[in-house]
Amino acid sequence: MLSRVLGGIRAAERVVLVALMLAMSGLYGFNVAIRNLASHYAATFAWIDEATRFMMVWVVFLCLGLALERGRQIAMTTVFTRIRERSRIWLQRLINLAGFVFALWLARLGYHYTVFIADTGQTSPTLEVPIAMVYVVIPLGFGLLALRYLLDLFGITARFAAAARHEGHGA
Amino acid sequence: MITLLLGILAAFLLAFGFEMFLVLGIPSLIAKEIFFANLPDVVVVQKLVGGVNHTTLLAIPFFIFAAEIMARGSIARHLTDLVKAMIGHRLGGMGHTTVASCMAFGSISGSAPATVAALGRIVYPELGRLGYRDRFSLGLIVASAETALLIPPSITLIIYGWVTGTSIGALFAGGLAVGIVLGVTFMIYVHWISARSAIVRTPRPSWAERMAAFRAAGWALGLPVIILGGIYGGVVTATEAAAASVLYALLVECFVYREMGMRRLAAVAEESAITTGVVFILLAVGSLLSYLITLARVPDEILALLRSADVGPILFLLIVNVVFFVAGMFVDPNSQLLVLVPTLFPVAVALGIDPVHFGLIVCLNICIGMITPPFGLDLFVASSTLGKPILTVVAGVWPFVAINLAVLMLITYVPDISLVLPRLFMG
Repeated sequence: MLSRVLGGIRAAERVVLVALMLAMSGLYGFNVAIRNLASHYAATFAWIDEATRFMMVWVVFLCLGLALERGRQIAMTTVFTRIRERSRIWLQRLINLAGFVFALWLARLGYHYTVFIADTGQTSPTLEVPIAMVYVVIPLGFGLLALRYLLDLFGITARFAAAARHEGHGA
Repeated sequence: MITLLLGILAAFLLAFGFEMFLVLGIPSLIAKEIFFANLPDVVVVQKLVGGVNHTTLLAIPFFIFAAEIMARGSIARHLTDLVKAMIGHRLGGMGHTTVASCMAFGSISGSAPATVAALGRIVYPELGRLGYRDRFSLGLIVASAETALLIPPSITLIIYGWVTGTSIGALFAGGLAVGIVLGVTFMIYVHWISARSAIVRTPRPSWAERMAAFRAAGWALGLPVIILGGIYGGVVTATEAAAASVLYALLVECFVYREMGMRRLAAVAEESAITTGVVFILLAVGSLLSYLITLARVPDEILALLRSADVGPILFLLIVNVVFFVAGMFVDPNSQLLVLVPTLFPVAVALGIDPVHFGLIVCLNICIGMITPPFGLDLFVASSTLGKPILTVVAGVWPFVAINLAVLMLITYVPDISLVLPRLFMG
């Protein structure tokens, strides 16, 4: 049951990330073409700049958990990999616990701010969508990150092994 | 006292392998609670989002995406073949080919580790076959890949430009000049070593072979033309050039090489999103940290300290180089940028140092950090992709670190090297 739920979360994250990345590139590329080839229509598509920035914000925070699970978040692991295995297990638990508290803390701050901004009814300047739609990715992204730290803390995932396989990537 | 404790906490988190965003983020949150308790919590969220919500920064995911599309196929091989066809027959030809191929690959990809991984596998066996010593070959590959951080598009320079408000176009032009100076210096060293060793020289290729190599690599060379031509022709901004690069890369892969199906495109997009995410989360958390550094008036205090000690620009730049050299041994490039630049940049400007010149000094320092033991990232990438012990890589890299330091001194104290192309292109 748990693995099916996790599989569903991963699939959803991946689909949304791919869609956002393609949409960002496609829309902005289209905007560049319009500005250079048919500049009198440029004002019609002024919303694209804002939309692509919002998409980028979503990409950054939505991929937090997935990147952690795959061992892709940047960390200086040289000392970590050289200490005795028994001590290393305790250190892994400490990192996971600290990461969980940090992510949960920011998810909580993000949630309160999103509710606050939603209540004000503020909309974005050109796209005219509720600005809370941008900020909601903070509680969502850090919530998914907190979940990944928790899963690793209880040994359900093995992100440190994944990180060892990915040594040197992500910079 | 509390500041010192927070510094020790950050050093502990860094040394024991905590994720870099925790190293930057946990002390920031504690500092906010202790020193700036009156600061509303909303500022934390606003800084996190504000740290990545900017059009200039869109250039980074686009350049990463374009490089992922182009670099997955046979581009690295085609570029190396082209450079080899042009200069491979000369004395030290394969060594020069290594340097020039890294520079050419760097004009597509802004990542030094990606350059080590992509080109190392191609040139390393050939360097060995022609008689270059193992250590020298490894050092050369790792050092040459640094030029990818300097030659546009450079993610490091975009982040520096964003943090300091310096023109990305001017930084790219300066990076091109410094990248060429560094590459040429490596080539002089290659020539010197080759003249003193029993290196086998390869026959000069025919012009037909050269044209065939050019045709195979020609599409890859279109990308730097779009980027540099577009920006300096005044047609597009750096972000627009990046978006155009993605469209160009897609067109080439879909219609010329015909290697890009929907499944592969989705995989490349996913990989690009994750690569973007792991860099940008540092920008987001770093934005909070640099805000707190500014609130605490750290740059003002450093400036006052330097003024009271009568430190001028020359001594200040020497201090900057030492600070970055030490930091580069232990901390990843983006974290160095996000912690040190907001602290040192206002001081540099107050001392009359040109922002572009300072940016190139910072970027070259970051390059050196990538190849300096004990934690230089590129050393580990070379060790894992080429299957060589890390100590062999480290042994080979020292002469190149020395060359880098000499070039760094040159760049530091001859500002015109960094500024001649920005003046020429940007007016």
